[in-house]
Amino acid sequence: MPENAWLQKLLQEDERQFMEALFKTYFPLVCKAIYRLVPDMATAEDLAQEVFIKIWNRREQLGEVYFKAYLHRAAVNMALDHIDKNKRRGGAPQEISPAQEELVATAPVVHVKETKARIQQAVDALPEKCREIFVLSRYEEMSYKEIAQTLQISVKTVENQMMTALKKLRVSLREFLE
Amino acid sequence: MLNNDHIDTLIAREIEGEITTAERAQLEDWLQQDVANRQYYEALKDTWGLAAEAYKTVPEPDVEANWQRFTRSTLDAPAPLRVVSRRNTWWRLSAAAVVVVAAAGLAFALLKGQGTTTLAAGTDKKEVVLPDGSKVFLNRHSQLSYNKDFATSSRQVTLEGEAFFEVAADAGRPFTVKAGASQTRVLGTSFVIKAYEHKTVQLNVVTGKVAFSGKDEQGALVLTAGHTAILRSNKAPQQVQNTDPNFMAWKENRLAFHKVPLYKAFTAMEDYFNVRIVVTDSSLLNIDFNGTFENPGLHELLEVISKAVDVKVTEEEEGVYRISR
Repeated sequence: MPENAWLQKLLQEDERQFMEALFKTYFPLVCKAIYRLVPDMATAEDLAQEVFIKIWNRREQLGEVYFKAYLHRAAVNMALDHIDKNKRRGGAPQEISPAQEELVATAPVVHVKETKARIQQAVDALPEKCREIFVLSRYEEMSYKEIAQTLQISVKTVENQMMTALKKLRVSLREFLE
Repeated sequence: MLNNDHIDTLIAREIEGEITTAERAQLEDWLQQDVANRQYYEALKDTWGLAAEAYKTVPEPDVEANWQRFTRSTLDAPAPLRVVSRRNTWWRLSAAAVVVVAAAGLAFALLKGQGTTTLAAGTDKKEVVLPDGSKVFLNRHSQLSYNKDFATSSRQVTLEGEAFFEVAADAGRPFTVKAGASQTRVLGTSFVIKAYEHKTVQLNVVTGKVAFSGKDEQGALVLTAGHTAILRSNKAPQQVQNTDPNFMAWKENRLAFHKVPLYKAFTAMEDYFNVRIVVTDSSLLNIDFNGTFENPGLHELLEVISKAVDVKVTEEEEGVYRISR
């Protein structure tokens, strides 16, 4: 039986078993999606827990849901909410200065293994909004339209920010782009 | 002549895969015009490709541990509340077991006046339900008050003493507890606040999440389940290690001692039974003591201790016990 149909059947038959199956199948997906936007594992785990608590509280209204997409979306929204709340509390991560950008770009590459870490650093170093949009497009595979709706901005802004992100990454990753 | 912004938009759309045929033709034209254009385009496309490598090594969460945590916090909590303990026995004052409730007098008072409702526990612990459905468990000699506009737009209560809160979820109306100089803004949760007069305010979060601050909400500390913070007067809130395993003893009717020195056990018992325990021989204080007591009775517990560590217990006067060799 396809996974979603199986989960739907479980939901009708035994809520607890359904929850366990859902949790164990999708917790890593939810947690990792959050982590890409909020790169701190302890916080990502806390937020992922909250996603599943919400699902549990809403279990009576999940009759038509396609779980994987639903959970992915819930994870993204949870992460964005968290970023927003942090910002309102004045804890916004400051935009990276050109000097820092330079630092990311010129640190020597030692191992192939570190390449991935360096690329990730470069993405992490993008300005806040720019990074959010880039992550949603590149890793969460959301369309510009979906991103625009989620963040309540125009598609045009999404397109602009995407290009800003790519141009900045092109500079900080130039050593890998020869 | 196409401007750069427009070209960027076309490239962005091409990357997304949402480019129209007409737009693709425009882009192709532009690419043919100059080799530099082609290089610019290739570099951006390569960057997009390279970025796929990021987050390939996202740390794996421990699914089993997280499932256990979820089970404890959510599945095993009596719906719709999220409580730590499955036993909801704290108010069942078994006459044999709980010595301290014997004290007579007005155990509970509800005072209304000036548009303020005050709920007070006297010599007895009390469970109250607020108009919004939130539950509050008040320890002895503790009181909670709220204005008549409670729950119209926000939910604000003032606490003196110690209480355990199970806050009804309602994101539209934030729930705030003022206690001493502290403010705790609730983000859906259960927690304990201890705010006795002239003492440090202490907060233990049992489930969920709260923001804890001084009078000024700037510098609020966000705390999640299992964490503890204190607020000393005129200081910023500070997260601390909760070293008292019996911080909920008064609510759960349970005292647990795992290899704790006697002086700690006595301190917990003094709080729990509302008595004083006097120890004359200080060499007794650091003897380790073990045991978990459900619905403990004071005399019963003192007898267990006297046998376990071979000491004599005498009641000096009402509510004062002396421990000696």
